[in-house]
Amino acid sequence: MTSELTSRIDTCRPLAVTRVCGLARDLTAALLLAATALTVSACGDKTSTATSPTSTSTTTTTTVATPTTTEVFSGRVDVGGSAFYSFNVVENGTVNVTLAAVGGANVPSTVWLGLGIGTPTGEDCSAATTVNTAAGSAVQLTGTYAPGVYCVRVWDIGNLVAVAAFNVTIAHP
Amino acid sequence: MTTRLPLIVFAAALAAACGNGSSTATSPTTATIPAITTVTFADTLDVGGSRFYSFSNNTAGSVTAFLASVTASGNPLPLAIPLELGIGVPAGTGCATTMTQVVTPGLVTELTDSLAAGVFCLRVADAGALKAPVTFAVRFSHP
Repeated sequence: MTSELTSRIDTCRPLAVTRVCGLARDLTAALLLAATALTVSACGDKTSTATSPTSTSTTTTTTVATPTTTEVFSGRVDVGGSAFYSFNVVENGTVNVTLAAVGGANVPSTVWLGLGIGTPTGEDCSAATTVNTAAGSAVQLTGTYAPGVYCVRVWDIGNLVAVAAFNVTIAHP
Repeated sequence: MTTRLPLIVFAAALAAACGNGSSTATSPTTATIPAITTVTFADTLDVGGSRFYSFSNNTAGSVTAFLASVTASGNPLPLAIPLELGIGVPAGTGCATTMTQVVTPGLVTELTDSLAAGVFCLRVADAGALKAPVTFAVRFSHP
């Protein structure tokens, strides 16, 4: 029967076997379409596989340490000049800077100077946070700093007529 | 036959177009080479004095330095006076060196150190040979 049908399909003649031939043609078409569908469905990109969404929640807590070390920066500022002092912060924490005293011949103790915290760069200190202030007992500059090397810079903002001596306290972790 | 031919061609085309993800061409990987910064540190040096220059290493790597020249102030003729070169960390009003070397001026690497990322300094000091102030130039490279 199969060989007969195959024979008829192969020889598909238009007269007596017209209906069988049409049926075979339809069957062939259906088989090809099924094969095509299988090919298309099998034709997949490995990366297109759906994956379950992953929900990750990470909470980072950074501890801010209080100052444990106090350094005293005693220096002199020329007219129009500056001076700086480098220090090492060993853990993330608070740095407090205080211009404690200013003096010298022809330098009033109330004179305002520039005060800044920054990073040693070249032959100077590149101050990122600054304030103009007179000497006092209250902290004039404060901030939270990651571990690393920083510097305090003191400079004349245009008020000096003579060399000024100063004391700055730097409290840091 | 006329019905089957287009379907066969279509199926063959689909099969040919059916790609495997693993056969996709991938872009070549480019190695990242840390940028190197070269600095010329030039200044004057008093008898018994020192100067330092702070720099930041963006990544860990080697720092190389050489004393390019020493001249008397106001005189461009080179002097063969040795000076002390050092590498360290800025501390207080100076540079706390962890490595030092007494070198004479020359255009070859005279000091090399491997450093982590962070802030460091290069120090130039009188090694005891100065009789008068000089002008120096140091060339150094760091990551």
